[in-house]
Order: sequence, then C-alpha cells, then structure tokens
Amino acid sequence: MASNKITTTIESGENLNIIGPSGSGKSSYVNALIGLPSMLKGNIIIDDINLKNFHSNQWWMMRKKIIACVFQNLELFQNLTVADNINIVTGLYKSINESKIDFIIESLNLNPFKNIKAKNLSLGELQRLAICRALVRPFLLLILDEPFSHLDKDNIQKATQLINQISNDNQAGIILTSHSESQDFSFDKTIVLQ
Amino acid sequence: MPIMLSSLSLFLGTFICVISFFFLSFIDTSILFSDAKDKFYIVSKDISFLHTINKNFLNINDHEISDLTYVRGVKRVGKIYSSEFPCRIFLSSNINYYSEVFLESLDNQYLAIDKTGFNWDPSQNKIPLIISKEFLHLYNYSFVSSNGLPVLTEKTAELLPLSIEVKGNSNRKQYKATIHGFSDRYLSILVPMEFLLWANNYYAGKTKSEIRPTKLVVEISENDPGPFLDYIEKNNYVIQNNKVGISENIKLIKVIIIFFVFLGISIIIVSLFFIYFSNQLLFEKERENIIKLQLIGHSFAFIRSQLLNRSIVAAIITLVSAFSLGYVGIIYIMNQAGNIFEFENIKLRIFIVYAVITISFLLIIYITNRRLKIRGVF
Repeated sequence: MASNKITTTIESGENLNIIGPSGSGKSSYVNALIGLPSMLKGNIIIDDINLKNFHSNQWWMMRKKIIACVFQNLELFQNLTVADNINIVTGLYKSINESKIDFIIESLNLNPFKNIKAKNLSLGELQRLAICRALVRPFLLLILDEPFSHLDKDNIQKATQLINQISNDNQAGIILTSHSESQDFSFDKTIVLQ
Repeated sequence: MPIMLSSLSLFLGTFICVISFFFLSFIDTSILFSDAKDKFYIVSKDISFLHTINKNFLNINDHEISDLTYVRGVKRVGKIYSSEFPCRIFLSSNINYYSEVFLESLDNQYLAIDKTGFNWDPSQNKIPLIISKEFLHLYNYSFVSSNGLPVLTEKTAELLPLSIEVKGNSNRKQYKATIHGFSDRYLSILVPMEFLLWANNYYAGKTKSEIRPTKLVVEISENDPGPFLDYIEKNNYVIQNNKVGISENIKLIKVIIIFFVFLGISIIIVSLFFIYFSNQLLFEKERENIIKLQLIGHSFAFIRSQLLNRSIVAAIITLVSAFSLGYVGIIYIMNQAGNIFEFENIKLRIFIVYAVITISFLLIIYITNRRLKIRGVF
C-alpha cells in the first residue's frame, strides 16, 4: 500500500498533475474528490469545508455543478449507445449549447459511433466517449484519471487540445493523474507519488 | 414478478381489511351505540315471596338511588314513575281494539328519541305516547293473526287515532293520544312526566312525594359494566332490559372481525416488507448503474424515485382496486341484506377511514423505500 504524506493547496482554475506508478495512490485522490470510498487518510478542504463533513446533497451538487471526471475505469453505460451515454449527462442541465456538444463529438471523432452501443466500441473509442461525456457538461474542475492510456498519439493530441480549450472556456482547473509528467498541459503544481 | 406477488398479497390484505372494517364499523355504529343496545339499563327490585305480600318492597328509595349513583361506571340514574290509576288504550278507528295498559314516565333526558313536542299541560286534551317497539312486534306477530287486524309499521302506527281512558277518584276521561315515537330502550308506554304526575294526583290522589319509583334507568359510562352488574347482583336488583348476553355475542363477533382485520393488516405488512425487499433487490441488481449515475451528477433521490415509481404505481393500482372491489362487495352485501344495515349513516366514516388507510399505506411505502441506500458512493 502506498504511503505518501502530501499537503498542497490549489486555487480555482489552477492545474494539478499527480504523477506516480501504478498503486501509488493516484486514484485514491480522485476517488476522495469525487465521493467514492477511498484509502486516503487526511483531509481535503474545499472553500473551508472538509469533504468528510459533506452530506449526500452537497456531494450531489458538487458532482453536478463543480466536478467533471474521466474515470480510469470509464464508468460508461455499456448497454447504451454513444448518443445516450452523452444524453444521460446533458439531460441534467437545462441550458446546454447543442452546437458545443456537436463540436465536442466531432472533435473526438465520435460521430460515426453515435448510434452504436458502448459495449461494441474499442477501448480507445470508449476512452474518447468518456472524455466527451465529461466535457459536454458545465464544470469548474476537470479530473482526468489516466485518460489517455488507450489513445494513440493523434487522438491524444486532439483530446488535450479540446480539453484545454473547453477548460479555458469554463475557467476551470484540471487535475490529471498519469504515470509520467504530461507535456500536453501547463500545470501550476505537480505532486509526485512514490 | 416480486412486484406482482407483493401487489397480489397487498390486494388480498387490503380487501380483507376493507370488508372486515366495514363490519366492524357497522357493529360499532349500528349495534353497540344504537337505541336498543346502548349502555342504559332498566333496573328494578328482584321479586321474592315477601314482595308478593308487601308490594312496597318494590319501591326504590332516595338512599338506594344515591348508593347506586356512586357505583363505579354509573354515569346517571333516572327514576321511572308508574301510573297509579286504571287505564285503557283504544284504537278509535275502524279497527276495534282496546287493551288495559299501564303508563310510565321519566325525565325527558333519558329518552332515546327526539324529545321535541313530548310534553303536556292540563289544558291539552291530547297525550303524546312513546311505545316500546316490542309492543308493536307483539301486535304484529301475535294479535294480528288471531284477531284479523291489519299489520302496522312504525309510520302507519303513528297515524292511527288512539285514545286513552283514565279513571279513578270518581273521575273518568278519555284523552286523544298520538304516538310520538317508538323506543327500544323501554318496554313500556311512556307519557310526559307532567301528565303522569298530574293524573296520579287527580285520579289516584297521590302527590309526587308520595310516589316511589319502582324502576330506574341507569346509564353506564364505561364499556365494562362489571362493577355495576356486581352491585346489581349483590343488592337484589334485576335488569329488565338485560343486554349483557347480546353484548357478549357482539364482543365475540367483534373479536372474530378484529381477527380478520389483524389478518388483513398482517398480510399488508408482509406485502409491504416484500415490496421493500424487492426494491432493495432491484437496487442491488442495479447498484453499478446507480453509482455510475451518481458519479455523473444524478441525485440518489431522483434515481431512487425513478426505480420506485413502478412499485408506487403498482401499490396505488392495488389499493384502489382492492377498495373498489371491497366497496362493490359491500354494496352486494347491502342488497342481499335489505335494510338491515344502516349504511348511509356510516358511509362517510368508512370513506374517510379508507382514504386515511390508503394515504397511510402509500406514505409507509414511500417512507420505508426512502430508507433504501446504495453503498459505494457518498
């Protein structure tokens, strides 16, 4: 089990890179931030509120309005089509720009797969779908938990470009976990886990 | 499948409750609290050999009345006075019928029917009467066949021209009489107290202070008349309108119906648990998807409501069907039973109770299912 003692502070809109080998505890940070059970010991404080003291409604509001996440295991609905996997998120928000959604789908080359069920997609296509699902909705913090592990170079470049653009539009920060330092984003802080 | 099974058992339980509750309401409203089976007891002295020699033993004095008033459960005691003069009643139409009768009277507050107009003053030649229903039954079932007389209902009897002949103290007079109403409580012909006291004085020469009541009407405030009945037995009184036997039978019927109510409630509780556990199973089955939905911003309350809609709708349909079928069943029973059940009197009450039960069940389903949780995400 990984044992890293870290204290850090990030401001709104700042980017953080968490680097470490497999099993170093990167996903524990992500899980703790998103409200999943985590091995993490210690405190995460957002706007003077300890996440440990969050009640279910606060977690819901945080997941709905603040944090968008691309999970390492994607968390997609395998029996739904690509379009439905996106709609299930966009349906939560009253005013979402349809052209923006089309632009994101187009940028990630998901148009040909719109009516295909997720279970019939390759890992790379699924990963692009997970990125798409995180970007189509409003957010202030984008958590990317090893989001490019199954993407080729070209797709990584397109995805990072899109992520940067949408995050800037939203004036949102990014937390990226990866095995090595990423050159695709400009980070304000980096945490290296052993 | 689990929803269907639980709906079926919910339907069965509710249907049993509906029908049982109807009978329970009927017993409570129509039997226990009716004129005939209320908590009024007519009490008199027990007749022994001594009383046949000295009839004054039958009189009940103020001290004895006072003692009776203090018995636990006794709410109030009223004196019943009897006529001390000979009296005859005539059917003064083409029905040629008369009978020797006695008259009785008591304070109007102890009457079980509408008291308006049940009074008399000496300038009045017409006397209102309250007659025991038993007398009407006796007339219809005994005298009619043997004397070729017409059968009378309460309404037609009230229209009959009657007269009462009273004599004594060298006086004789025939008064017109009207039937004010029929009573289950008193096995007697009741006249207004004003008339009886006046007539006892005029035709028998006895003032009110000289007349002792031989009967009392006692109202019992408690459901358990035990102490009162003990007192009656120990002090040589008898109850003339003894409803204890009937009460015991009613109690037995009530126990049986209550058993069915509890059976219905038990089935309902089991089916509610069944609904709860089938929903819990559904949650466990969909656990992974529920967590995914929560992670992308859906609230657990919304997800839960979507999953529970099915069981809530099933419960509503089941309850409405059970109540509707129960109601149809009750109407059928009413039609079969004729006018025995005074359904109109309790219809509103039954509807209110059913509405409360339905809303309660739905609330129970809603509240218990709100407790459904999924582990794995905060």
